[in-house]
Amino acid sequence: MVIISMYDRIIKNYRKKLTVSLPCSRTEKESIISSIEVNIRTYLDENPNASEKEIYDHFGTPDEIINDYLSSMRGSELQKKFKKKKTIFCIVFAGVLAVCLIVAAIVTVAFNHAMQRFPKERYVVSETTENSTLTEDWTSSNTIVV
Amino acid sequence: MSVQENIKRGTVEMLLLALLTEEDMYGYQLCQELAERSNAKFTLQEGSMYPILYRLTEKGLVSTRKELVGKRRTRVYYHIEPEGYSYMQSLKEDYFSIHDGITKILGTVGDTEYGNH
Repeated sequence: MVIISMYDRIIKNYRKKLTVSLPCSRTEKESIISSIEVNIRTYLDENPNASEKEIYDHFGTPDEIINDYLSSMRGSELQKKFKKKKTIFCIVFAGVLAVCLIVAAIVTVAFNHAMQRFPKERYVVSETTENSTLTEDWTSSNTIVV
Repeated sequence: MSVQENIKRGTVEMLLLALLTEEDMYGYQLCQELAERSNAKFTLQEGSMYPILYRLTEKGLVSTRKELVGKRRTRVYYHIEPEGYSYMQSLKEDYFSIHDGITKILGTVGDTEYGNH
């Protein structure tokens, strides 16, 4: 029971860190993680008393695996990865900018439309006194006609 | 990073392929063979080996097959393909060529005592 929970914890740790930090495709990550998973299980079957430290010493910690992966990459491969990341960033940035411009355009059109409607509506307030009628015409000039 | 580490990283692909020319092996076995044959001078953590094996497999230099061991355990055996063998030979030639160059340089400067110039 102890071994199973330790195994789960270790696998969870590998899965979490390698998924986030390995600079490769999802398929490659999945293949690497499942190879580690299967082989840790085998290792624990053969060494049932192995401690967590022994497992990390034998397989390497997730950080060590990531460092080894990065240092085994050729310069051209690294450049390609960075270029790809830069392209993705540019596409996302352009997308966000386009959405912002579209929203701004829609808001401007809606505002202009509302402003065009507003002056056409007249609000007339009338008050009758003993001798005269006071009328307030709420147009754009706000003239008072008596 | 030390010279040893750099050499290790540059040669691990070649050494794994070289071991596979003898027989098909699984991950743990490859690690053990590397350590034993180098008198523990060349050790590789098993987790760091799988990305390399994955790349070799993707390139078609190595193929894999699964074998059931016992009731529930599965072992993945790695097998070197003819393309892998040719690639290993070219890596080996490159290695011996550069090793030869380095040895020649070190052989000539090694004779001079520090300060005798």
